[in-house]
Amino acid sequence: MSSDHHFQVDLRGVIDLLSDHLYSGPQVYIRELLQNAVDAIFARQHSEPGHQGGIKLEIVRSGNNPPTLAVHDDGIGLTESEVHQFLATIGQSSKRESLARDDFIGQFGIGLLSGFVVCEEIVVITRSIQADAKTIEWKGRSDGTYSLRQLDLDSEPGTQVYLRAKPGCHEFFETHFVRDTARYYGSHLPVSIQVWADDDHTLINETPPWRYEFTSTQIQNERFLAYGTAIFESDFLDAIPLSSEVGGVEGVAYILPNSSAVATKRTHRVYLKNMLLSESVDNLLPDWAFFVKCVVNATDLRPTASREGFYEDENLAAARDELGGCLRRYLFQLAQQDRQRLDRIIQLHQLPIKGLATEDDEFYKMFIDWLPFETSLGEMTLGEYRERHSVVRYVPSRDQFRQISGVAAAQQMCVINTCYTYDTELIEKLEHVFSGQRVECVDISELAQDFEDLTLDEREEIFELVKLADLVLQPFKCSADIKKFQPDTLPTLFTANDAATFLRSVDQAKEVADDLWSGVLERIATDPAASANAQLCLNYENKLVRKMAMLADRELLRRALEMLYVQALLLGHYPLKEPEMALLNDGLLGLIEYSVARGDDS
Amino acid sequence: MSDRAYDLMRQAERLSHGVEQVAILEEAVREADSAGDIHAGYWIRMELVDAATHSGFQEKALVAFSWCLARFDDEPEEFDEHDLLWKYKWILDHLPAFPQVSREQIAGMQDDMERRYEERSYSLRPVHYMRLSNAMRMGKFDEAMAHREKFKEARRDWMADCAACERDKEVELMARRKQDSKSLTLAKPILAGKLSCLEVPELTYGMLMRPLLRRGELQTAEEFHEKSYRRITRNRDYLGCAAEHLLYLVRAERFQKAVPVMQRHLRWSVDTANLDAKFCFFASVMTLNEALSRRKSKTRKLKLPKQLSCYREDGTYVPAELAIWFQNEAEKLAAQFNERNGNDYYTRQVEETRELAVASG
Repeated sequence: MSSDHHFQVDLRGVIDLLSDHLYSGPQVYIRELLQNAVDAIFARQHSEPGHQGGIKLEIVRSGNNPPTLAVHDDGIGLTESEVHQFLATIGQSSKRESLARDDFIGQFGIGLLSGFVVCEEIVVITRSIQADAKTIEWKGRSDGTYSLRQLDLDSEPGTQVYLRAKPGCHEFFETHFVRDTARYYGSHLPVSIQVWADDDHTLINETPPWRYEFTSTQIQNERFLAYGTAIFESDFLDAIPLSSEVGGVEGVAYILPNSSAVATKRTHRVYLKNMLLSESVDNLLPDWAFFVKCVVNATDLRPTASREGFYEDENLAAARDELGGCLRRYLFQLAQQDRQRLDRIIQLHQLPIKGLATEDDEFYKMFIDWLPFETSLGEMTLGEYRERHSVVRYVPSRDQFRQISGVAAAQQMCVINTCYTYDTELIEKLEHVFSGQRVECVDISELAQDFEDLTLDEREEIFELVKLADLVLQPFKCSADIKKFQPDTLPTLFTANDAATFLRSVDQAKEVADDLWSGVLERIATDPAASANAQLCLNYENKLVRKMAMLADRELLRRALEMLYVQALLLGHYPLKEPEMALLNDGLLGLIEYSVARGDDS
Repeated sequence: MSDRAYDLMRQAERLSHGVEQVAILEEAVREADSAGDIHAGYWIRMELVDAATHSGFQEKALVAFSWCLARFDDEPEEFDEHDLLWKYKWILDHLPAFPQVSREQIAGMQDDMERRYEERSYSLRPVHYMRLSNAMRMGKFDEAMAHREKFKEARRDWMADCAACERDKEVELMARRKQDSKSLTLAKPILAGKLSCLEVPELTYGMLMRPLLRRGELQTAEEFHEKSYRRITRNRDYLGCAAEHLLYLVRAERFQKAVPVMQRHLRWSVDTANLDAKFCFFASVMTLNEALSRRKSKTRKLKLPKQLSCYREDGTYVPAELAIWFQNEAEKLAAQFNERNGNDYYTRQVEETRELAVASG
């Protein structure tokens, strides 16, 4: 015979779970109580338009007894059956079935339980606004039991919740704690909230600046900035009003005073229906917008259970677009009205602005010439570059730029280093946005081709040397060439494209790896090997090179060329492979021997 | 460690994964090597393995890793073994994406990893997990399922991948086997946000596109695309994942969006060494151009990378021609993979991609 049984749920355990996982700390009990009270008042306003409503948090201390917090609201109240239904069933919220009434903040039906984090017994006295409703007293205990009785009392409609501090929790009932916490979560709520304690009372409400109408944008800006300084303790560069119809978002974005050199996730302070949701929402703005920190209120976005962000849905995507649009409009406006300030912002926040430019063609057209790039002739804006050069040349590889930039600068050649985030994309976009603009991606070996060529006579003079160099360098997968370039103190320039540099690292690993790994490395290297290109370019302007061309002793010449190769590698910060190390050692010894021998002769 | 190498490390630390981070760490490695500092060389390379693996430069990760492994074998007491054996999984996981690497070499590396885990008395769970992963990506599903049994039986210890990654792997296995409802069911905790990691759920969303397209659940595919595509546009490690999103866009006939998506990621495909990802992306691009060629206009203005041999200076392309070009390229890659794998899994994938791109019935 089988029979159905109910699970026995241990309330104590549930509360522990909640306080460990769902609630960030005991202070949230105040948030949850405020939330219930506000929702009760909203509910009453639905049936009694014009009802103002108010909440009073009262801390009662008497003698040696533990402190008690009483929360009074003049909201809708509960009838006896509602008390059974809602206060005593976990997960059952009076707000759930009426989600359509979306001015409610709470939705999980577990708010009141959070009280058990700080007390053993919760007493609720409530009277519904329904005609002939009785005053009900409900006593819930943390062991999972509750009792209920009618009070012979003709009280006003509304609800009072009483919590008496349990041992170890008195600190959460201190006046300043209750006041600060209520203010932290609830200061922007549109219902008056008073904290009463020790014969004193404080109104904690403060209207956020975005809810005001301002007579001028200047006054608005000042108020916004003052508000930002107060809540974030930082002086911002500027304040940008935010609003989005989708999601019902209103607020302010503050431009960070420090450089946003790295694409980091910014976290924002977000109120949901005017109750503080979180200070660390990170998915409200487009990815590129990491140069601002925001404070906003949203009325119609769905928070995730962790309260760290909003649920990714169409609404959020649309709201994100609208908010991104606010920032974009602001930048356009600055471009027309305050270039100086814009330049300062670009200086600090070029990365996010570049990010926006990659996504938005119109913005790109307007801003691209103002954005700074690193070139072989130093940092300059793309506008400055384009004024001087008809073709925009760029190197997308950090390593290649490093190899060539010094020498290129000496020839007055200007190439842009686009290894940085967004830069390649932005430069490549040029020819598509501005038709007729030529853009060239430069391979390092090609760039050396643009150095000055030798005359025919000069070629003849040096031909043998270059041929020999080619032979000498062959085992090192490197070819030789000759050009004229500055500075003339530099005898050679070693260049390697990315594939060649990769192959160097493969060779290096193969020197130490076992058979299995060497075999795999060998295979991995097959594709790059086809496109690898390393070159030692001799400088005809260099005296040493010219002298070498006169030298008849081929053995000495070989040594000298090998040493030039090794020196070029060292100058380029390339770690030497074993055979190159051997060159260095043999070469040094050989040269010493040679000098010693010459000393003997004389 | 030299000041310069140290500064570069600091710089790299502040960056998110991507080309720039990898380049800076490579420079730091060269600095350390030039100074003959083996310890710094080891430490920086381990960072490079991380950066390269998660920035779509698996070949660079492999090279750096092999150097570290050899140094470790040389002087085991000198270096951090745990980090090394943890990252071994990443290297082995990506190995089949290089068709040049033989089956014997892959098996050899699996055995090598197993030996090392056994020697240190780690659970073999990650070894079975990698054998599963390798086999499935080579289209050997019976083998993969057998390894899955062992993987699930083996005890979890601190070398095991996180629950999100393990689950994602199983989702992938079921998706590749076309056990679509199993795949979707297994993915539930990931989709609900209960399991997540560095690249999960992004990879999972992409992986579920084919099951959804097979089941004709375009609306869910749309939802997944909207949720996750924006998170994969910045990192070339997601090239394979982008291929799945592109396939969805083709099937949904959202060509306005599909064309920019193709253009954006083709740039990654030009110089990636991950030929599996390149193959997947080329196959999706093929379907896009096939679909475009069936529509009215004969030619189309496109921005394709110059490095592709189908590139045209004037930017005017005939989709029907492009479709053939990408088909040929995809088939060439497929042939390379087939030969290595000893089956026709990749050829079948080309066919399947084509079928999924077109609404049936």
